[in-house]
Amino acid sequence: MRPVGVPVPRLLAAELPALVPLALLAVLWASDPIAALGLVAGAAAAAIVIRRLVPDGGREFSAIPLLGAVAYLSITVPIGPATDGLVGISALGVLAWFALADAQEVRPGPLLGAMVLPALGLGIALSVSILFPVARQSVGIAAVLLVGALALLAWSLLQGAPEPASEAVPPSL
Amino acid sequence: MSATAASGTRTLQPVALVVLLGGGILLALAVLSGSPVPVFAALPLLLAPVAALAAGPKADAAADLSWAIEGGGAAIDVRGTLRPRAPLDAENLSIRFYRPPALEELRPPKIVRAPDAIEFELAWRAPFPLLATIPRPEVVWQDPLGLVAFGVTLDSPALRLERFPPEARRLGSVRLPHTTLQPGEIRSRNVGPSGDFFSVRAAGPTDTPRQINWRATARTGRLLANDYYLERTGDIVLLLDLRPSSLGVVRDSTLLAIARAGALGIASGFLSEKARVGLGLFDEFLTAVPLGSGRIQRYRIAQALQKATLAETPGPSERLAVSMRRYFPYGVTTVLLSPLADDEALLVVTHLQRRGYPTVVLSASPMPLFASPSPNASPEAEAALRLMRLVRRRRIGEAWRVGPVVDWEDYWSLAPFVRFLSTPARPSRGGA
Repeated sequence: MRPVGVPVPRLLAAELPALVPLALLAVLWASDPIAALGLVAGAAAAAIVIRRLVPDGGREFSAIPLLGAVAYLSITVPIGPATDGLVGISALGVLAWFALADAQEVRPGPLLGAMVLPALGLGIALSVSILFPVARQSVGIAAVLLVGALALLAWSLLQGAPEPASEAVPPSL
Repeated sequence: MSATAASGTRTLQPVALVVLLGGGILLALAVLSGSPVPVFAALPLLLAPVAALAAGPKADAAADLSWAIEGGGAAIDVRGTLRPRAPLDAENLSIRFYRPPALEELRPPKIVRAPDAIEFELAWRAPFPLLATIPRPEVVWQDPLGLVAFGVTLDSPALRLERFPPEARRLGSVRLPHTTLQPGEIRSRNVGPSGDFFSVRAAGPTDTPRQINWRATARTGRLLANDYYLERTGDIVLLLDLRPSSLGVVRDSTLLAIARAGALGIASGFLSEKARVGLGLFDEFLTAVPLGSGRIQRYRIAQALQKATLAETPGPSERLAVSMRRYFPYGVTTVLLSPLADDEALLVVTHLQRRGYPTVVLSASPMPLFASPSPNASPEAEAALRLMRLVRRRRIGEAWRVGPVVDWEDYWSLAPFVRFLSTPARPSRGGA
């Protein structure tokens, strides 16, 4: 299915998982909420325009404005568990945008299944940062590295297992 | 989402690279700004491709494809079922079909997903008779986010599409001269009611009890029938002129596709009646499939026709007639499939006749390929079309001086050609 022709309301609905946390961040914690909201709205509009106008590369590049909005808000909002969580959820929303903007029919089961590991990583990092408030930054980063290392280990175990060598066939006479 | 991955390989999609890059930039921002907040955004982005890779099939992903071409004439319905082998499920499989360029799509592909299979239906249309290969679809397992794709291996063959005019089936009733003895053939002195005895063959449902060879049947344990010469038709050579003409590459290619389909239809019609059929493809030199009969000969001819393309370097007409001697005996009935778009094409007929090959030209007319005059067409366009028709008629008239020509304007019907071959030849009045 080609990306061109996806209706705008459906694209807008696909953006909601990312837009809602971004809008909350902008309204509640941004220093200039109006400008931040404008930035979020502009990013949403840009993503839809790219998605509709660029036939082949639209799928890949359409998330860049959304990621830009996430990056801007994440460095401008104050540090805190709520902002940490909302930024993480908005990143999950950007991931969901790829699936929701493409699928002709949304199947929640597989989509939620694909989100489990990223959400789990985010949850571990958040809980670590909340439970250890004294050294938030270093512990948070250590948790990230730990989760990443665990994920890589799991992946290598799942994917990199060597195939059992086949027995040598004796040459026939 | 349309992902691409060669079968048996796993590839990160461009989306995954964007996601990983975004995660990396967010991490760098966290370090530069001294704020941990971007890290929480980077984390899901960096983990998602890893999760997608881990969720993909571990070993070779394979699926069973059963598909077939249905429909007749111009209608081409491709139906099939794709059943993924365990542990794959059909939910995350995407399937991409490749339509041969000559075919037109009537409706978008209809795909019905079940938990263990994908059923599909493609509705295409052939604008003219043609031979084509429908390649296997590309089946890709893709995670729901579209980050990673695994190529799924299919072991089903590609489909061969053969669409030719239905009248070709009736060609078997045409009697052709038998020009040479078959290998190992010895004329019998015991002439039966149907001529010389030829061989014993497997009996068909239409054979009468008198045709059954009861002794041979008793020996072998299966019904065998006698085959006589008069029941057999003779030999025919189909000759395709692959040289480019002044019509241009696009029209030449279309006419060649039509001629290939027509040649296979004619060959099938005669081969089904046990005639011997040969094929010659002339571009710069002559490529020949010598006279032969049976299903294997049909396969050989189909293979050669599939490979036939427009010549890059056209050869001289006389070379064709000279080369024919190497492969085909004198006097064999020759059908030249040529659009007769140039005077050079006419020369081929002359040379073939002079070298002793009675030639019938089956000329696929280029006229239907030109736009038909619409009510809003300019007078100049109408005049040009009328002029082209006159030129075409004049060229066919010139060709008739050398040999018979069948103008093939309705591509989906070979009725004029069958009628011409079925009509007994009249003795020439000129005394030549």
